[in-house]
Amino acid sequence: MSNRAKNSQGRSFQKTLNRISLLNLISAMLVTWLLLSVTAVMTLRQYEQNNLKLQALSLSHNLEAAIVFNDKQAIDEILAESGRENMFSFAEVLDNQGHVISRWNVDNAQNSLFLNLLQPKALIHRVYHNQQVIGEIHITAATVLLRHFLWKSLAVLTLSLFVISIMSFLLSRHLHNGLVAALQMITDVLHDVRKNRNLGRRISADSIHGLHMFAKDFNKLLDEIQQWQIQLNHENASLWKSVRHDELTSLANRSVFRDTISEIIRQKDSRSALLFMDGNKFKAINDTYGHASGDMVLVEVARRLETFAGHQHVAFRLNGDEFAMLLNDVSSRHEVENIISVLHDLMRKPVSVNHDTYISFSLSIGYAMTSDVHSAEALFEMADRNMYSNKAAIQEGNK
Amino acid sequence: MPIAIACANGDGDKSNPDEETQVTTIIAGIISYSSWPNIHGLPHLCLSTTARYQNSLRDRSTIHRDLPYIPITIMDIGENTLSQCDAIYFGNETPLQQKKVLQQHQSPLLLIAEQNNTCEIGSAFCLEFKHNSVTFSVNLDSLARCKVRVNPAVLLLAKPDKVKNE
Repeated sequence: MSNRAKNSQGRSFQKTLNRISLLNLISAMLVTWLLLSVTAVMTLRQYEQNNLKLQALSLSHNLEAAIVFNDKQAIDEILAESGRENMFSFAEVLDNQGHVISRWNVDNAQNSLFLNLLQPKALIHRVYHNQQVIGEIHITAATVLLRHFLWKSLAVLTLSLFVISIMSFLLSRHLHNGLVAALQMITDVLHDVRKNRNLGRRISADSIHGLHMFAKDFNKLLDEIQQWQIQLNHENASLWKSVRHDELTSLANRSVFRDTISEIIRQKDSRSALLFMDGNKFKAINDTYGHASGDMVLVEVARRLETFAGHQHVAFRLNGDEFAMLLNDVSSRHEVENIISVLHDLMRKPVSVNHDTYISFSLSIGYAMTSDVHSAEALFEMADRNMYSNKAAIQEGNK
Repeated sequence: MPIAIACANGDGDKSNPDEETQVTTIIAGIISYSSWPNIHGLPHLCLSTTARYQNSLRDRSTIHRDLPYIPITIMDIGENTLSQCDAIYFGNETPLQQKKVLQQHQSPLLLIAEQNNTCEIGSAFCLEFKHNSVTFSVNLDSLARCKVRVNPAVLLLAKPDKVKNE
């Protein structure tokens, strides 16, 4: 789904680029057309004005004799002959008294106001014969040429716009491909980083200069974020450890112990056993050797328990000289009792504090099988009771 | 080969005002388009007394502009009186008489006949009056011999008379 969304984004980006270049081209073309057309129409109009003068001159030469002889038929014929050649849209011949002798009109003389504005001014040309005015020619230019020019220029404009649109579409698609691909890759990397927290992704350096700088900075930013994340993870881990572990002995603490036991009880068919362990006469050690030495004893006890637990079992320090151990995969009471005697043996070796001081230390150990109880409380209670009966037995033995 | 120019023809001796204008226009036109190699200024047009339109040809008001010639009335077409003429406007003189005048005259002389309908011999230009309009025809043979140069524009206005050609 996200892939499709990304594709549609890519397309619309390309479309936007295409639209921008197309709009640029069309406006440029329109302005160019307008300027060219205005220039051309002005030039054409000037040319038509001159042409009209020439027409009038030529007509006056052709008409001179006919006007002198007042030969209306000849005048009509000459006018019509020129008129049929689309030389002018309107012409009339007047004698020197101002009477109209002949008039010629183009058939479809209905012109738009626009064309009438563009067409050259009507012209009045005097006809002379032997230095005397014998008549006048009034002549109006034909707009055929202007009309044709306007239509043709419009057609050419439309055609060029069409051709240029296609060309620009193809060209811009070709030119933008690299850009679009680069941006697409940046989008992909960003998306991957955001969604999958894949901070290892980097943008490959691009050939486009502006994007190259961008990619470099972006990659640098990613580096920093990654560095920051690693540091954060470290801090999180140490925080996690300090919350879950006993500060002095680095054994799992009471809260971990509680969570672990709840979890064990929830598993119906677990074959585990809980050991409660309590230091014997630990207060006396503190009083005799000082707290620092007491702590060293605790650390050494914890180390021995930890070593024994290995990967199969878990050791906890609950409080002061209270420890616990969860024995996993133990099949029988007999096995548990064996383990307990191994633990007693492990504790038998005195703990060396300083160089010359050795302190003997022992644990009272009680156990409870998870298979015997249905709640954590019952497990604690049973283990606790067993431990105290063990402590009582030890004290009885010492007496 | 005569070429007829369509012009109105008034039957009868009396001239009418419309035709007066047309005749004067044509005569003034022909003379204004003609050039004589030996004269400067306006040519002299001799008017036969037998011509119906001799009066209107003398009057510049009929065509609203200056006449391109100086009109002179001649009583007799004898040789002596014609030496001052550069052009002659004949009345009822016969084509043969007109031809003879041209033959006897030394200097260039343009002859125009008012009443020479066939225009086969004699004058270079002949007027014709038909349906209230005046036309003229050209006798190219006479024109070539009279040594007066006439602008071809005039000859183009002399349209062939179809009735006559048949």
